[in-house]
Amino acid sequence: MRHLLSIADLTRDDVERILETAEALQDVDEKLPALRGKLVLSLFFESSTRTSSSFELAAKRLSADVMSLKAAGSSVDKGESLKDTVLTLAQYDPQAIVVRHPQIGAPLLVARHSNAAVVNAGDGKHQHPTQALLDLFTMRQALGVLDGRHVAIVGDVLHSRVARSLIQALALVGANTTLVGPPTLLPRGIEAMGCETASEIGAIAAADVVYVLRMQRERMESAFVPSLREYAARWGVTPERVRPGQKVMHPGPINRGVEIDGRVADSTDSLILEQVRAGLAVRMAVLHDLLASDSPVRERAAVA
Amino acid sequence: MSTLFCRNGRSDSLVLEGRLAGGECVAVTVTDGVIAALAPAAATAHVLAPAFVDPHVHLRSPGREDEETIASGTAAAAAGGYCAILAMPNTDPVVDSATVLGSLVETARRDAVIPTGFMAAISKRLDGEELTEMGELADAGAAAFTDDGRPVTSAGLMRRALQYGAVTGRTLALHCEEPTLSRDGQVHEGAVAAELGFAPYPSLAESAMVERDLSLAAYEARPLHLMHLSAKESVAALRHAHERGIEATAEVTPHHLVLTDEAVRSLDPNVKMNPPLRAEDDRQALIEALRDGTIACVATDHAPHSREEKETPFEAAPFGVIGLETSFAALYTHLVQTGLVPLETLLERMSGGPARALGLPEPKLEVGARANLVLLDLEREWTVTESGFRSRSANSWLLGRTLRGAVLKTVADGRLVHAA
Repeated sequence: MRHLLSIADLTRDDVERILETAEALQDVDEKLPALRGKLVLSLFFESSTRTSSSFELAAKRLSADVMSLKAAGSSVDKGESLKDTVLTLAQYDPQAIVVRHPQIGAPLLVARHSNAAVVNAGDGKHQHPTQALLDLFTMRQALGVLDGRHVAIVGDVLHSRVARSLIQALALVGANTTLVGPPTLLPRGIEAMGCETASEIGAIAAADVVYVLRMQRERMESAFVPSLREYAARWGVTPERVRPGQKVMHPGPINRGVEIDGRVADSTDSLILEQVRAGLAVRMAVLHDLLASDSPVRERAAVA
Repeated sequence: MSTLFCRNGRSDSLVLEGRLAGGECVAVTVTDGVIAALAPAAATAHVLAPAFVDPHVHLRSPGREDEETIASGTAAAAAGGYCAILAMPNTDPVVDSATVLGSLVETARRDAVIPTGFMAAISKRLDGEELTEMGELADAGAAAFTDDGRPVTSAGLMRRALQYGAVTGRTLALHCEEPTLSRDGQVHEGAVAAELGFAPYPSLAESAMVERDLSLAAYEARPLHLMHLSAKESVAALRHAHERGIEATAEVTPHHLVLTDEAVRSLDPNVKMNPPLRAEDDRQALIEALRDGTIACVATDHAPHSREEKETPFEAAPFGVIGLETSFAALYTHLVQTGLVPLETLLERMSGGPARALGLPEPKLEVGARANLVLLDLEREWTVTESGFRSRSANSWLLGRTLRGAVLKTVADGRLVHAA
């Protein structure tokens, strides 16, 4: 694997390999030497808490040097183009660049203008591949084999890079996906990705996993839904709408009382905090796969 | 008065030998810019045809001379086999007054390599609120009227333009886009946009406006010209209008005839245009319409953008691609060689079709006509490269591609303006 820009670029073998590596790394509580002497550059042009922190920690756990830049307060504020920012930072010879950007195609541009392995940490409404991988990891930990399992993704699919990456990732491992939400937020033509769509919340009943997407306030302004109140009433995932044993996931940050009822988010069937933990292991696995795939995963610091 | 302007210069005398689309080989003698004689000639592989006319070019002057000038854009057109082009008025400042138009005409008389016409805006500042002084603009040499780049959103203003435009004797050329349907849209609404996450720009945004404008044209019994059609629904609406006797002409671009929205998967900013690339059945409908004459014109919508503007993430890049220097080769390679459109039809849709649609002199290969000729080598293969353009910009969707068919010579209004 040269870069991780989109789940669409991965094979099932790639996914299996990364998830296996993540499994081997998940309960490591010491620093591993795999990326010693390597520089991981973290470039966030959009706000993020969990993704940026988990990438940073993942790189540090693998002994990489980490340099983090945020758009605010940088030369980007002075009107520097993405290309020039990348050309400038490429002079430090980073081995990997983790990039989040509000515009589709930004990670590809970064890949074209540097020699580093590029990891897409979210580009516009396009892709968020490490989120999809950590979601698969979480599901597999909870359910075992995912072949033939059924996942319902609920909410604002139209504006969700998480949903797009996850649909592709689930298809790669043989799971079935149903998208559930208001017709205005289910993009026309999305079925071609190999999923079904439904506008009634009842469609989540048969799913092994209910994956809830964040509902953003901005969507009200464009008349996608009349109000958050009506959205919550019709599509909110409440205790009445899920059954015991049905797993519930959410990429965070959650809006309690809007897309997900707090009682569901806090229930024993909720995997939301497991997802955060999986994020660290999966991002370590991705960096390891890109930068140190020829070295054993669990080479110990003391041995190195 | 004439609506095409060109730099002064002596007409040429020369002889061109080539095979006509019909098959016979002729030697055309041009004396002082006029076709003086047509005589049988020995067999030759080169094709000789009336030169091309492009009804839709952005010359970016005034305002963005870094991207294109009248001199560079017309040189590019000459290299592409064109003997006349029409420039769009969405410049900075907008061509919405006789003053701005006058300065363009003056520059064209000094710099234009081939005859060049200038469209003027329908609405002042292109803001869709008030009509320009269309009468005065026509008197000053406006070739036609358009708000290209933007639709005339208000149906009321569009109707007024049709009514009042009658006094100018010029065509109204329309960019059909219902902005509340295309809003923020970047990519054709369908499986590709859904998968990649782009804000969708549905075919309906175009065809709903096409239908509105055709209804207005029917009601006012006035002709109009539909620019850069992209959707099968628009083609169907145009066909239906023709059956009802509405005088509507239309154009289609090489990129909409060759590419589909699948090309957007590359995330290459050089496949981002407005209207967007659409689905394969749209492309097939456009090809069929070009073949049967429902769409009578090929138009490049040559839209130069600086390298900086296009070296951005796809989503941040401006719409538009250049096309003057590649149009014939792209269409010969992808439509003629594949058997989709006969060569003769393509040559007509690039020359006589657009000339008649916009009321320009029709290039004719006959004795007594001003010489407007293009000599083509259909065997030559060449690769499109960034450094190969006469245009000041290189934002081509064809970069790196190998095409077949090259323009060897162009004669425009009696002058040899390009010789490869």
